[in-house]
Amino acid sequence: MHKLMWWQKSLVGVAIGTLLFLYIPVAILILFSFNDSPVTSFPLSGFTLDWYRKVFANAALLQSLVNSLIVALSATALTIVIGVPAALALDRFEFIGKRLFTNTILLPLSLPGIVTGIAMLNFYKQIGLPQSLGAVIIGHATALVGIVITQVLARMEKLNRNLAEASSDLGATQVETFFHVIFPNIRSAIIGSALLCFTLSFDEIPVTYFLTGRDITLPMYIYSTLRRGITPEINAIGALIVLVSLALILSSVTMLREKK
Amino acid sequence: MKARTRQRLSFWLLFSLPLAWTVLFLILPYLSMGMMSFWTRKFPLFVPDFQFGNYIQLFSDPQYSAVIFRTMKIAALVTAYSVALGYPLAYFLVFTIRSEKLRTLLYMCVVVPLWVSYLLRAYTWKIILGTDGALNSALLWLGIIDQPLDIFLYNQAAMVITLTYIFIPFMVMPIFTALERIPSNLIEASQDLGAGPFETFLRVILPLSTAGIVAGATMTFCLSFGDFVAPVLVGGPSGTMVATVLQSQFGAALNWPLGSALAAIIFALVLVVLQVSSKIDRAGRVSMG
Amino acid sequence: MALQPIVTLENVAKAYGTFTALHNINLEIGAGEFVTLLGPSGCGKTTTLRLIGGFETADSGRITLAGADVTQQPPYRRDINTVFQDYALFPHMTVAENVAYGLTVRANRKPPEERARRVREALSLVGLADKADRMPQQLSGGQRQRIAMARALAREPKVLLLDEPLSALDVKLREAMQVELKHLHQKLGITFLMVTHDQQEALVLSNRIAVMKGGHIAQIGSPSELYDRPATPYVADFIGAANLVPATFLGSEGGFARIRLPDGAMLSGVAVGSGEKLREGQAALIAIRPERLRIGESRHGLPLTATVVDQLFHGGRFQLELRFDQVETPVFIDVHRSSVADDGAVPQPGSRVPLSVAAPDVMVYAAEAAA
Repeated sequence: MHKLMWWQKSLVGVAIGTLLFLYIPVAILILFSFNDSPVTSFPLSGFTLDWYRKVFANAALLQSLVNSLIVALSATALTIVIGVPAALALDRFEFIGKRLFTNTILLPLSLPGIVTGIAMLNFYKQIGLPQSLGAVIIGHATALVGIVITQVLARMEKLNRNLAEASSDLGATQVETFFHVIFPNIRSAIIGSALLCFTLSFDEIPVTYFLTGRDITLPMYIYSTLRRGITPEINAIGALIVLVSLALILSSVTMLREKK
Repeated sequence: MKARTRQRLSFWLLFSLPLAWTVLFLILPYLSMGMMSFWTRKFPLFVPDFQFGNYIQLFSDPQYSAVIFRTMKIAALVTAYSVALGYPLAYFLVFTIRSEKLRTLLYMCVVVPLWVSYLLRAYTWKIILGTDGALNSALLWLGIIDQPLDIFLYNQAAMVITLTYIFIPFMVMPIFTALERIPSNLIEASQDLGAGPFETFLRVILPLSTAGIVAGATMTFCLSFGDFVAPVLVGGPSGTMVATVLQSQFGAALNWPLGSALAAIIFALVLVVLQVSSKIDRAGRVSMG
Repeated sequence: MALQPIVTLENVAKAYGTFTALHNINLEIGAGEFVTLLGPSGCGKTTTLRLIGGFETADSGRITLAGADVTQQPPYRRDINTVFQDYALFPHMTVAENVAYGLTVRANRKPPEERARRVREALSLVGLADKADRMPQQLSGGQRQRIAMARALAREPKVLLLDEPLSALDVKLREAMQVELKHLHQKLGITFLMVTHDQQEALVLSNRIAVMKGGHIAQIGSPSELYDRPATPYVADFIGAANLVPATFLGSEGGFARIRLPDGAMLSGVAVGSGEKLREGQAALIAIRPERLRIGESRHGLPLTATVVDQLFHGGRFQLELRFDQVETPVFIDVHRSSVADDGAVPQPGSRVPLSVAAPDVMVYAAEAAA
């Protein structure tokens, strides 16, 4: 191996620094979730699980968690139901406005969420859709369906077209072809994009902020608590969310690896 | 059934729901927002109209243009810092790490924070930078300072740090992909023709990863431009961003038409950024063949 | 060798993890030679080339270039240039910029006039002077190949390394480029070291060929030496076509051996191919080039008998698939249509035919050497 030069050394330095920059805040969050003090200050004053106890005793918080799960699950289900057929149609047919459609469907992912949230609030009110968790579900599904469509479409485009033709050549109907040939090949794309949609929906604030009624989601709960001030209870929730996210990522990674 | 009819039928079976859904829940909302931007406010009502008063107000009142420019400046700074930190990291992962496994693991480490609540990631900086937060108390404890400093929180620097922290994975990902796609024989060819590692970086690797930088910069810029949580958590009065103003027009200030006009301007700005970046990206792609 | 050596490898070894790519290779290449490393994938030929180019560092041993030790030198300090397998043309530069690249690097920056002249010369050398302003992806495969040559040659290196230079081209173009490559080598007089898995290409182009197998050089020599006197059945099989038939070694005198085929035929006076000693009664393997086997009896040749299994039509010739009694592996011979009165005279499947072969054209090897 040749020796590293100055710029390569500083490069390694910056890279490691950036990785630390990404992880130190999370570490601090977790650290303070066990700290026996209402303020997040050094030195640490002692170990406690009180903040976790408080989290599990907080009915409003738990209700918001349930709401978040309902929203994320329903929105994800809707993105699949709308997104997969759309991807199939986009892959198989040529039609006027195809590009316009794909560009439009991706807009909510590039536009600031607040713009989409406002637009939805405005129009949903006009058509008599009240601010509610239902409206939030519709809003999330609409904003996130672009992920499913692009991911599945990308997979479809990689798929050998002869596969579908071979299937129909062997006498399969279009529906049979879909379930026996197409679906197994796009399954991991669907699962992957569904996971992404779930996380994004679970985490979403701007659209939720404008579309929700009295029922609030977990991020909204945290957001409104934070505006009032810091409580270490939030650290505990944060640590739990980090833990659950990591568990989900690890399980999805291992699941995808086993598939291979 | 004729083949053509059958084709049409299966097309509409697949596409009618997505199309109807998109039109009703996405396209019409955007259009109606555009229309409302021409309405007038007759307190406490908004009256359908077609006049440019809202736009004129936004462009003539320095208060609004100042916020728009400040937001652009912050977004640009976030983008610049993300490139400065993200590029070396991506380069390090692709070219310095030899083991495939370690590279995948470290790349996962970069991407994983995206799965951890975005709100929490913004919040961590509040507990770090706050007056009695982790940074101040640690400095006090270590005896570096003898009074908590309030220079960390509620200013633009705090915003830039927080937003950079939140959005940096969006920069690393496309750069990583672009770097990984550079065939190793191009790098070998450059060295073969007498260029050392640094010259190879400047003349081969950097030009061939521009598309990744552009994609990452677009993402980072658009996301931080429209962010609405960081200003509230760590921004303070000098950190007011477009999203904060927008939020107040639909909340406390209760001027939906003006808010819609502002949203329409943001919409247009983002479309311009996307258009420009896709132009550059296309140019880059042509050169990659 | 009379030539001044320009590249030498002394006991060079290279391993990747637990896989040993090269076992103590020794190789000497003379100035101006065209040497080819030939072998199947994984034989170590590409590793050897990459070690010489500097893209890999040897675990042990020494590599010299024009007398100087370059074992530890990075590629950008070696006076060698490479034509890469997929050409490795920079996609963000024009053809001219690609060719000029090696003349604009800091270590070797040439004044603009000289640079322009050398780019022009290099491009006209490969007949593409008119493509200077194109982008690489606007060119055909054959044109890209030439640009890759021009780019490497513009640096006027002492040694040109060619990594499967023609493998990505279709058959017709490949044959045309072989001729051009040979002319280019003769014209420039610099050393060419090529890696290929195509034995035909190696035979046509090289002054010397090193046949590699499992990280060793199995045999090195001129194309005709390798073809006429292969050192092992492996080389015999890899270079040209060879009929390999199991046999029993019965004994030898004066370098000529006596053997028995499974069908009982006794052959004497055949050539001993392998260097190692064969014991009496030991299992052996004989190699006969298809064109050395003739149909019909001959007074001077050794007589053999085989059964025709199939007749394959190749246009100008027929290929006959034959079997000796008690032997499973088929034997092929060619019957040129010009050598028979009409197609009906070519032996039909099922018929038994007498064959003959000159004793020195039968080469005998120890059977285990084939493994």
